[in-house]
Amino acid sequence: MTTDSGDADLRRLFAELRERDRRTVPGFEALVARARVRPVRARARAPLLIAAMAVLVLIAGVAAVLLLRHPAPSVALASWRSPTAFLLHVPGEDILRTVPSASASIVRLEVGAAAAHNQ
Amino acid sequence: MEREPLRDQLAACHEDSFAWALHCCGRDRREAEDVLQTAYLKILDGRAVFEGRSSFRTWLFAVIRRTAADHRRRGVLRALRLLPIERQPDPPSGEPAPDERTEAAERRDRLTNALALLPRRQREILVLVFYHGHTVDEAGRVLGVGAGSARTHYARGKTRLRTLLAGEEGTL
Repeated sequence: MTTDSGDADLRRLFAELRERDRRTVPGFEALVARARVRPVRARARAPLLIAAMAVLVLIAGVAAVLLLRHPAPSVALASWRSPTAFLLHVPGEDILRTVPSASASIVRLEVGAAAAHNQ
Repeated sequence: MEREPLRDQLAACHEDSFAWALHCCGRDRREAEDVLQTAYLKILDGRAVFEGRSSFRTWLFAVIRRTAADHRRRGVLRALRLLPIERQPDPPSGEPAPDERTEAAERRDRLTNALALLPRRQREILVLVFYHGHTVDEAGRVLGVGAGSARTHYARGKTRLRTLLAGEEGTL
């Protein structure tokens, strides 16, 4: 597929642009010759990048040494207690933990004192 | 390919190669020369080898395009000061005198401004077809896309370019 017959306007515009560009083309031999004397940059020099990576490696190394010397204390999972565990204890929770028996009563009456009161 | 015939082929395509490099570099002349130099050295030093899977011109344009993309990436690193900025002497200017503001110059500027607003693929397809005379399928091979994608980019790019040019004319 090439340009359609209805694209004459675009072809004209591009042709004008091409004509102008033709007048400013640098010589082939001069361009290649300049390329040959250009500073060689076979390997990218990135001093800042290398320095940043060196700092990161240093920090990682120091952190590793510190961790090896002072390992974090190991805590047995079973014996671990939350520092806010006391908040879970509510007044009267003993009542919630026991099942009352049918023959027991929390009300204890002194029989003699009750009779004296009624008189 | 022997070095001398290769060099001769490059010289024969030089005018078109420079124009294509110019478009790949946003019409920045200095950058286009830099990209073209790099592409030529790659080819002459054997780092890019023509294997005959397409026409020589199609392959050359693809090499220039990839070189321009690499150059853009390195430009980002240079902007971040992670690579040294290499000072090159200013190339001899072939630009016409600034006071030559003819109607043709106005039309060229409208076209280049409109092309700059297109997505890269659409711009490249239109330049390859209208400027360099490639078929849409050949243009797709330069860009490394299938024929269907190339035709889509071509159709959308053309529509968009007309809209932009019509808008530019309305503001003149």
